[in-house]
Order: sequence, then C-alpha cells, then structure tokens
Amino acid sequence: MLPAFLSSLTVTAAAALATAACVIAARRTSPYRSTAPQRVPVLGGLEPGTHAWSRFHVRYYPMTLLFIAFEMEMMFMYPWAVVFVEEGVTALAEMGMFLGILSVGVVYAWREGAFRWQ
Amino acid sequence: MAVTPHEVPVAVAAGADAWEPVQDVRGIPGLQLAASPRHATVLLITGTVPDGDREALHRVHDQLPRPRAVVAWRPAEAAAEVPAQTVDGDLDALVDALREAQAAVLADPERGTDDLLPDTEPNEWRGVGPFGQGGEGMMGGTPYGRPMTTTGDDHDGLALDQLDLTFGPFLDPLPGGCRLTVTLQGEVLQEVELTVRAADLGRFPQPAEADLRTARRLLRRTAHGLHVAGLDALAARAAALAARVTDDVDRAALVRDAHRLGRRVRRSGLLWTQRGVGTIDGVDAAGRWRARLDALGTALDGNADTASAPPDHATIEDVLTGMTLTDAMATLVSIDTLAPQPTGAVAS
Repeated sequence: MLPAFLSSLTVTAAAALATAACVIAARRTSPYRSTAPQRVPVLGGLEPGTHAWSRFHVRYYPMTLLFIAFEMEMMFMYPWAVVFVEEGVTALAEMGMFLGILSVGVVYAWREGAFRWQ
Repeated sequence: MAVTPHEVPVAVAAGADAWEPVQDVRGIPGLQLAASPRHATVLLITGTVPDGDREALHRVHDQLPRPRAVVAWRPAEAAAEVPAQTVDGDLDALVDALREAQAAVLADPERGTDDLLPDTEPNEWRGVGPFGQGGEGMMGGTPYGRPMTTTGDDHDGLALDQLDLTFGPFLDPLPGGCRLTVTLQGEVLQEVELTVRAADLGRFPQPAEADLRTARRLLRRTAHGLHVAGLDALAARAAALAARVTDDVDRAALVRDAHRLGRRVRRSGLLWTQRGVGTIDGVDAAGRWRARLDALGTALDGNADTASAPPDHATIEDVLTGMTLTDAMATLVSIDTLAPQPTGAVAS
C-alpha cells in the first residue's frame, strides 16, 4: 500500500518545495515590497469607504446545486451499471440509498426555487 | 498583458482641462494608456489638479510599481509637488519624453521616484474577533481602518452588503474631471452621485475654426469610448485622426479617413452591444454612438454646431441607478458632453 502512496507523496512534497523555493527566492531577490497605498484597490486615487469583506448574492448557486446533484448521480451510476448484474439486489439497494440521499438535495433545490423559470 | 521593451505603458492623471488632449496618445504606436496604474511604468501628470485631488494624485503615483518615472505635460502649479520631468511642447515632444523617461528609469532604477504617501495602513491590524477582523462575529470592527459594510435590500429582497466607493478623479474609463460616488451591491449600482469639474479647454492649443474644434473633440471622445469598449485598435485610429486635426489639415483626406473610421466602428458590433443600454430621453447608448459618428461627419462638412444639450446630472444618475458597473461606464462614455456642476458645488 505504502509504495503506491509514496510516489504521489513525493510529487506533492516536490511541488510544495518548489513553490516555497520560488516564493522565498522572489522575496530575497526583489528589491521592492508592495506598500500600503499599493494594496488599496485602484479606484482612480481615492480609497474605498468600506472594507471589501462583504456578503453578496451568489446568483449561480441554485444551478450549481442542481448540477452537482445530477452530475454526482451520473458519475456513480456508470461504474454501478458495470457491476450491477453480478452484484444483483445488493447493488440495487445501495444505489437506492445513494439516490435517496441525493434526492434530499434535489428537493432542497426545488424548495429554493431552482426549477422555477424566471 | 506582456509588455515588450519597446512599449511604454503610461498611467494618466489628467486634470479636467487636459484630459481630451491626452487621448491623442492612444494613436501613437508603442505607447499605451494603461487601464490601471499597476500596469504602467510612466505616470503622466497634466493639466490642473485641484488641491482637493492632490492626495488622490499621490496615491495614483504610489500605485505604479517601482521603478517608476513621472512626466508632467504642461502642468499647473498643483502638480508640481510630484517630482517630474516637465514637458511644455506638443504631442511629439510628449511622446519623446515618455519614451525617454521609461528608457532612463529601466536602465537605472535608482532614478525612479520614491513613494509620496507613508507606507502605513490606515489602522493597525489588531487581530481581535474570531476572524481577526477587530470586532465581534461577522459584523463590527474596522479591519485595517475601514468600517465593515452595512446591509441593504437587494432586488431579490435579500439583505446583502453594500460597498461605498468613489471612482475617479483619475480612473481610466471615466471621462476627465468626473467622479462617480456609488453604493455598490454585488455589481449593481444602488445609489449614484456624479460630479463633473468645469474645464478651461483653452489651456492647450485649439484649432481656430470651430468646426475643427468640434470634430477633434468628437474624435477624442470616440477614441476614449472605443478604448473603454475594448476596441483599442479602433481607438488608436480615432486618436491618430484627432492628432491630425489642426488648422492646416488636408480636409479632404481627413473627411475620407473619418468616414472610413465611422464605417469600421459601425461594423465592429459596438452599436449592437450598446442597444438598450442607458436610455436617456428615448435614446440608448447605441443611438448616442450613432449620433456622435453622424455629428463627426457633419462637423467635418463645416457645421460646427452639432452638439445637443447635455443631459443634466439628475437624469444621468437616475439612469445609472440599478445598472451594472460595466453598463454605467458604457453609458457615461457614450455621452458627448457631461455638463460641469457649478464650481462651488463640487466637493474638493
């Protein structure tokens, strides 16, 4: 089991090291740091009146919810269809449970008005 | 955007009286008026910068990445506080100065200008509260000296946060001397206040003939509007035409090229995208663009008096309210003349 993970661990560690090396090298070699005025959003010279930490409406959210519900369904149904014949009724029961849980999400999306055309 | 060594990205801080002449720079190959000071190496200061805008000018200066160079083109006294190389000549002299300034500062970064504003946050980071926001819960506190947003109902009946922002006075998509104070929810403008500074356009040389003055103004507005629409190649054509408009211009050639430009703009799809945007007195942005191109042709045919009365601020503010920021900017650049407010009414 371990050797299988070892390769992916090595890649992850190498990527992390390379990233850290780049960041540190950039900090060491660059003669400039960003200043407080540079960290302000560009509005044409003025500063924003309020902090940018704000809540806004994620309007694509019902679509995302529906997409994930149906997409997840299909993703597990393909491998399930391959083993369905040999597993028989067990597979049917498991898929029923899975769809049952997913349909809660769909019902929630329905309640949120995701199926209403506006 | 990648910048080749030959390209000079320029950030512009223009007073209301110098904003139109600066548009001619768009027509110069190798120079680009950067959309943000963060993309520029050279800051171009020009015209009258009122005392109230001085801190804004300094902030724009500081927002250019170092090393940076500053060129002042026919500046008024107020601009003199920024250390700059001053140019008093015409467009050619300015272009040379911009190129030289970038070459000099890239060759020797030590020659770049220093920051003008102190490198301190408006407030110290206090790290109070569960998220270090300086207050309790999600609300309250003043992280880095800025209060948290207040909530208001959006058009779906949800109580969401509102950002208070003022765009300008030196923002690329805004016409010269404009300030747009908005309450922004998501990307929808909920409250809009527009202020426009009066400009004395006599600061820069003008053609003696009124029709040429009109044509040049329209060409410069066209160049800026096309740039804001993302059509920079067409903007460069319009600006290059504007730069050609002087008293001894070959009028026949100018008329021909202006017609050609008008045809290209109409074919570009710009008018199609602006249909139904920002309708004022029954005319949408596409209609105003069409009228602008027509007025350009009329002006070059020798009729200077083509301008219709500028819409008043209350009308514009009404139209902009409820728009997205993109549409609001598109609407503003489609208006030929933004009437200045009485000087006393402009907060400085």
